[in-house]
Amino acid sequence: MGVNREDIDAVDDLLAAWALDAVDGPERAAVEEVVVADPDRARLARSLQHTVAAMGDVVAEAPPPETRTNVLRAVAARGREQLEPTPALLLFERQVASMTEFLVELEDDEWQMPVAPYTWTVHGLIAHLLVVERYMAGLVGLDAPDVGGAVDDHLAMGADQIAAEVTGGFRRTFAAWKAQASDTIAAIRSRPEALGGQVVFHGWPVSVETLLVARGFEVWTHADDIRRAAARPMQTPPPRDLRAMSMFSVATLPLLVPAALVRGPARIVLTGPGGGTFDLDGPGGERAVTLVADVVDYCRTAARRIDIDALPTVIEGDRDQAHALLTAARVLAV
Amino acid sequence: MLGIQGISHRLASPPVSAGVRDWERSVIARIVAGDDSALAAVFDQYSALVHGIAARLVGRDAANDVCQEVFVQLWEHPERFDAGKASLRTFLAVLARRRAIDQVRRTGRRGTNEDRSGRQALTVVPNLEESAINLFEAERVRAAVARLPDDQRRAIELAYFEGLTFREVAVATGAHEGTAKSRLRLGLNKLASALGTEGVVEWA
Repeated sequence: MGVNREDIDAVDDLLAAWALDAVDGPERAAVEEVVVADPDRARLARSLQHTVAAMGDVVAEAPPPETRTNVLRAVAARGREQLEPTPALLLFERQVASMTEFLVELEDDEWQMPVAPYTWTVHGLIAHLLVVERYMAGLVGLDAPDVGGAVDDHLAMGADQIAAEVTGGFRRTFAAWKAQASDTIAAIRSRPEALGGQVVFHGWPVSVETLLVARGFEVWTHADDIRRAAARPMQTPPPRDLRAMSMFSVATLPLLVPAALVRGPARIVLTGPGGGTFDLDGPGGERAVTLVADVVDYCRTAARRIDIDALPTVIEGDRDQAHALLTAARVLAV
Repeated sequence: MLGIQGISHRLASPPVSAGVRDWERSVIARIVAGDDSALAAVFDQYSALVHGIAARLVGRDAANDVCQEVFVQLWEHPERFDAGKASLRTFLAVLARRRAIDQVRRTGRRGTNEDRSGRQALTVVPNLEESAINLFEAERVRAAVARLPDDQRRAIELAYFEGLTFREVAVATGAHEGTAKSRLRLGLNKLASALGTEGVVEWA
């Protein structure tokens, strides 16, 4: 319906009746069409609606207890459809691509910037990733240079290779890292059954699929490390990537949190696109703690890029257990 | 460190001043994430308002259904709440009223006189502080309504408590339709001004 001057005058005349729901259906629609298009009338309409809502205090009357039970039962039956996580291989591939796109924009001298929290430069960090790609390639059966001993130490692994890389040109290291990651992606894509294979990564038995999520998480974290060093804006992954990474992180918690600190079932609520609600088992029937945090902040905390104390949270219940959960979430990060 | 603060199973109640808006944004984000305990918190906070509004229009039995529908709808479509446009309290009040009025107009059935006999005691409100504030606000609303000229007050009471359209208000009061609309407009604008000045209306 078009809106003309007469319509607007009629709407002004009807606004109070509309706020009181004292209009019929077509009149309601006509008012709302005008109000949506006019910020001043929208403010007035909201003011009148607030007034009518305030009048509700005069008639407030608690429902019987069974209404609450019925509502919560109905809600439990409906559940909440959660976002599908990005498939592991695609997640890893996307984060490698995102890192690549960012690195090609770097100025030559920026490759020599130090990258916190490490002692490496950007070049050194990419050399570290190259070593990790080689290690992972070997685990999935590809022919890749041996990274040597100390494979249970993520940072110390391949120290000689990293040292050798940083004495050469960064372009060569960058190209080698891209090529190694691409080889792994291509190899797994050609053999999808490899995703279900089990490997031992730094002493942890995991599926290749889980490992790819963890590696995607790592590449995103390091890309943001470099962005931070280069004073570039941090990047938030797509919601489905966040969903995959947060699901991976939360799934590790029952294995990593000390049993003595688990006083009961726990709920973790990660808000924002890609978030979700996770219930963790524990002794007893009553939930001991609910921990609420933004999903991106949670992932950065798990990656040790936000301190636990600096993470904005809502904690209901046992704060010690909440702290134990957040501490456990960081065990795999270095 | 987070430290030992003991165990509490109760959701934090919203603060009663500017923090209400933050609390509302927080619980909606949690509902979107699938946290049904956040919906329970919203229910505990606003179910008396929602149920009371519906009970005056459709009666207590039907009000239970309206109450349930309103909160289940919030669970199913939390994105329909826009914190930039209204408080959650107003959003739910509007939703409850519309559902109840639509039901009255569809079925022609209204609540009994007992249902409309005025506000019942605030028996179950989340906490005493909130209860006291609701009572205080209710008294302010009553006082503001009482200060309206008789014809405006009557028109608003018929629209608000009986769920009449302005045309039905005109018939009930023996006035022209235009006069009924004017009385509603003048009366509600005065209430908005009075309650806004006195702080009941949050984001006018």
